[in-house]
Amino acid sequence: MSSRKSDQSGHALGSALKSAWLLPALFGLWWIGTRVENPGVFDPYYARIVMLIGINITLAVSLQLINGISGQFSLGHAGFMAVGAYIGSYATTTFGGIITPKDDLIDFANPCAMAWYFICLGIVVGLGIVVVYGMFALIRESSRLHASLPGILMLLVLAWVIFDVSASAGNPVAPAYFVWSRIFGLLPRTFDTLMSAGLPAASHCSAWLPQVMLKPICFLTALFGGGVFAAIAGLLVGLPTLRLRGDYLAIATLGAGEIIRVVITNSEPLGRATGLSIPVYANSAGAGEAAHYIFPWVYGVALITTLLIWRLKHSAKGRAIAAVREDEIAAAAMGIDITHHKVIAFIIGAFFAGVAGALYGHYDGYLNPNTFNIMRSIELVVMVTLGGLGSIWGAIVAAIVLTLLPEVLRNQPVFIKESRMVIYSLLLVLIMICRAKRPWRWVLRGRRADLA
Amino acid sequence: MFLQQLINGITSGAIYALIAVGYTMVYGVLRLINFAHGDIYMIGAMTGLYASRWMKLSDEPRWSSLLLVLLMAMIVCAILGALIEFLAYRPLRNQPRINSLITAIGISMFLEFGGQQVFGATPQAFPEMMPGGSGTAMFTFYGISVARVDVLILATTLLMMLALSWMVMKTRTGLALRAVSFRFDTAALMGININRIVSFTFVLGSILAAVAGVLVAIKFPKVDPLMGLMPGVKAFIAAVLGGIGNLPGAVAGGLLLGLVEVFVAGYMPQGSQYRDGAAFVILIAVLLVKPSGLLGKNVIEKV
Amino acid sequence: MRSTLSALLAVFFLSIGTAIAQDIKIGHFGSLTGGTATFGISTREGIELAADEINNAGGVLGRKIVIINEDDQSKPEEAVTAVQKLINQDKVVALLGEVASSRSIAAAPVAQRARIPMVSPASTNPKVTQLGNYIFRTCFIDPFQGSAMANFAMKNLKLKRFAVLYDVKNDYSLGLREFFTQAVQKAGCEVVADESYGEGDVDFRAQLTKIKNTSPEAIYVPGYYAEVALICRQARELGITVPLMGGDGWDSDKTAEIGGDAVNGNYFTNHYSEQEDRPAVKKFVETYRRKYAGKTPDAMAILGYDAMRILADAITRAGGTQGRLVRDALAATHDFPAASGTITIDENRNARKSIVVLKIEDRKFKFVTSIQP
Repeated sequence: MSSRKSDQSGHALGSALKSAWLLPALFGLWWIGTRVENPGVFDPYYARIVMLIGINITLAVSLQLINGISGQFSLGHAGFMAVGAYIGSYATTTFGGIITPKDDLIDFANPCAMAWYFICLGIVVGLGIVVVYGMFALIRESSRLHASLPGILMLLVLAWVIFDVSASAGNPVAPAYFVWSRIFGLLPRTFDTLMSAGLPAASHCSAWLPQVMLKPICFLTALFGGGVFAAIAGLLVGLPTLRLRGDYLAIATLGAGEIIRVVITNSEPLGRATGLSIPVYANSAGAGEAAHYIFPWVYGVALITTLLIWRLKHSAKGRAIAAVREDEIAAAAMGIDITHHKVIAFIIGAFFAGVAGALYGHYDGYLNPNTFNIMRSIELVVMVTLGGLGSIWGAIVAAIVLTLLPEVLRNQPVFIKESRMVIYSLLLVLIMICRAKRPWRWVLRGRRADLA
Repeated sequence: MFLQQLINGITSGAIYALIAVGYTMVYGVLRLINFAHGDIYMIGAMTGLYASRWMKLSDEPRWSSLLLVLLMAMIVCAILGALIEFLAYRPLRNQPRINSLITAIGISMFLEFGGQQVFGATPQAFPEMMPGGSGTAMFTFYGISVARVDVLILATTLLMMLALSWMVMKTRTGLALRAVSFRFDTAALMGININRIVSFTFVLGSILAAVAGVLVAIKFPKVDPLMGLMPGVKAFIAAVLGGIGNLPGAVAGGLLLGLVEVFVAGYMPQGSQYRDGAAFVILIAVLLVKPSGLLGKNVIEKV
Repeated sequence: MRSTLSALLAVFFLSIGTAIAQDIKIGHFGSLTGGTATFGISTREGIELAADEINNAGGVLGRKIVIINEDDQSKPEEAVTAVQKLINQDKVVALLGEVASSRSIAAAPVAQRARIPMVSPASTNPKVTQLGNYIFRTCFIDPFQGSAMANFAMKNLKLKRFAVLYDVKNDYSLGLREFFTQAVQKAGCEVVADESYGEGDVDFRAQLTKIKNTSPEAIYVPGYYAEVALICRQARELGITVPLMGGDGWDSDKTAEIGGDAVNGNYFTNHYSEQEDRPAVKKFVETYRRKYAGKTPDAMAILGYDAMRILADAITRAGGTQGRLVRDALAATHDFPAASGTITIDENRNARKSIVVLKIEDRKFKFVTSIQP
């Protein structure tokens, strides 16, 4: 718990000036993006790398908010990305205006239905949260009677559910199974009822929208929906775990990310290990290279994420978040609601991870649970740390460098190419060590933070 | 079936415990999540494999040859641990700990990808090292047999836990370890050679990993460069479950984790699909009720 | 810092071409590192062996074949990047890859859009070749292999109660499990247990104990040898004596090396048997051993070898390397004498070839029967 002063907090103007040339840089990339509408001008391989850089910038900056600016240590960012990717992309496969890989346009796009789908899903998830939270509240209330009652009750409930559900595999009248299926079977049924009730009206609304607007609105809805559900996942993960500190929080978020992945791996509609194919969007010319359509979107999102988080960092709220990072007890003494600010940072970070995930899903046209494993989370943490904790600019540079590095190594003579991942990991260690030597401060503009 | 699953749980938990002891040892002193621990464990198993091949020890399994292989794995891993500490962690000693964590990740990736280059990615068969067969029953009751190697692993785990606890609590080195884990600079003022103690911790942790690597390779005779990945994560969970930095806690956490996994896979409908998830659910549940782990001490924050 | 970055960019844009303009460049993307590296490397070895043979015999259309290997770290998103690089940077005329269906599904749309023929040596999921008319495969698909094993077990071995233990993280395993179960249930037999494990697991005793409790007559384990060998061991240690059955993922000398005597008495389906008297098999096994220091080829090696040879044959028949011509020639492949059997490409761009059932006896794979599609 170092009490070193953060070097930005005092100099808002200077810092703003320093970060201000971010904007032209990002606008420049965006401009390039809009120039490559014409396939054949820009090599799709480079286009892909530039796209992945854009998505990684969004991810790294949003993780910087959680890990650097708010000082929590999250290792579950890939999980939130997965939530956004799968939910956004699944909605698109059902309601989006799409192009199949065979280039024949299936011309329907139903943004209102997609929005209605998200609303229904939101209601059902909300109900589920209320049910689960109610149970937890009941358990927690019991601590007024005796300090260790909550733990005992939780273990009892867990044991009851596990043993009863297991004993009742073929026997639906066992009590736990009965309660379980009544409560949680209710949710999908509610969803179906709501969905089928609103779908005709929503489709009707979509028909009224101008034809050219359908696809962009659909796309925006999918991105936003992916982000919102990732934020809900962030809330679910954050509320209980953010009480933990340092390494414990790290391992709990890592666990949460893995649980999300295990659920996806076992979910039939999401394709399990075979993966989910998403029909990709096309550009206005109708040629089937997704990059050209999504390019401005990717950098638009990166820009908005960066701007928002940069503004947040220098707002009153951002200062409160930084205060919580520096010293929780002192912050609490100043009247700052610690949990509130931690959770806010966590949710915003998760939201943008979800949007980036949805972008990734639509860009690649294919999702597989293996993409979102622990290594992906670790990769993002490496970006954030390498760029300097707390530094938005550093996160962007690190995202660019670390996305380029493996590709640069790929384009080398065979003996380097063969062992490119070995070189990559060695470089990682070397950069970290060199960065520690003061005169070599090359990407560093962030604060020196402690993990705990 | 219940008794069999109980044995399954304990034996698979004993492996987590065995690896977690090394994890928790390093963490307890340095407060560093040594991500490379699982990969040092892999190097231990690999050394065991190549040593036994090179010396043709597996032709006729003997206890002495098993000990020899163990010793070689321990020496190689000790040198590796010292090297990693000297080259990758020491330059970052005074940096924020998260930076050391990133180098640990880098080292872990280096050992994995480098391992695939050097040893090849194909899994290799580990020879039978235990005289009389590792899989044969040590004793049988109610129709359930317990394999000899399982008893060996459990006994080694408990022995290591006791020996380490004694070392930490009763010896002068242990006293120095505890002082360093409490505060680096104060310990230095007390005349403790910090570099020596930190190196010692790493060497010790790597030796523990080597022992685990060889023993697990005897139980599951398949070694490959990525074999440390999942056990590394699971052992870390076990260490956190028990209260990281706490030796008996690591053993308790490992056993609990093994039991939970086996019971989820064995008793819940479709449970085996959620086996990996179960480990994390139990972790989060325990941390919610007791944020410092099962046997961990609650540290009260001072203003 | 800026100079560092520009230096990096300069290196980045200087891709180094090793092939001469007259050579035929063929791209192979595979998992050369990462979780399933062992399969990617085997495939590469098979492909390079075939390319060497073809080049020694004078090449294709009088030109030499150059294989450009790209690694995808066993990740689907990296497979897409690798394929983009092969198509746009190296200008390959055709693609070989991937082993895993998930990564083939990720990469296939790129090849399809660029009109570059892609031949997957070992992706068995039916979906792969449905992604476009430039996507081919030279292995059999999951429905055929899964039902072949089910029918063999029910008809030849007269078994009725089955258990399935599959790899939940692996699409290959998932597919075989689905079609095995379908075939079993269609014939009126029973699947009494359906358990799973995850790639990289080493302890399967919880699932096996559960399976043992349902007393099946056989256990179907459609996984890869790395896990299967340990599953066999642990099943026998737990006193399970019924046969275990599997697919071509079992084919490796490591199965018996790791599994020891526990693998005896089990059955699996495969592309070929080493005991077959076909000269193509003998020649392949011999030259492979010679080139790779006595290593016995596994299923992936022979599939990579065949995919390369079928592609070379198609280019020869096409008389040129344009994507359209090669595609048409590939689609017209008929009764090609491949090492893993006689291969015909059907109208869905899948390989039609016979399957063999092998029994493991005394740690050796013994030929039992051959099933026609």
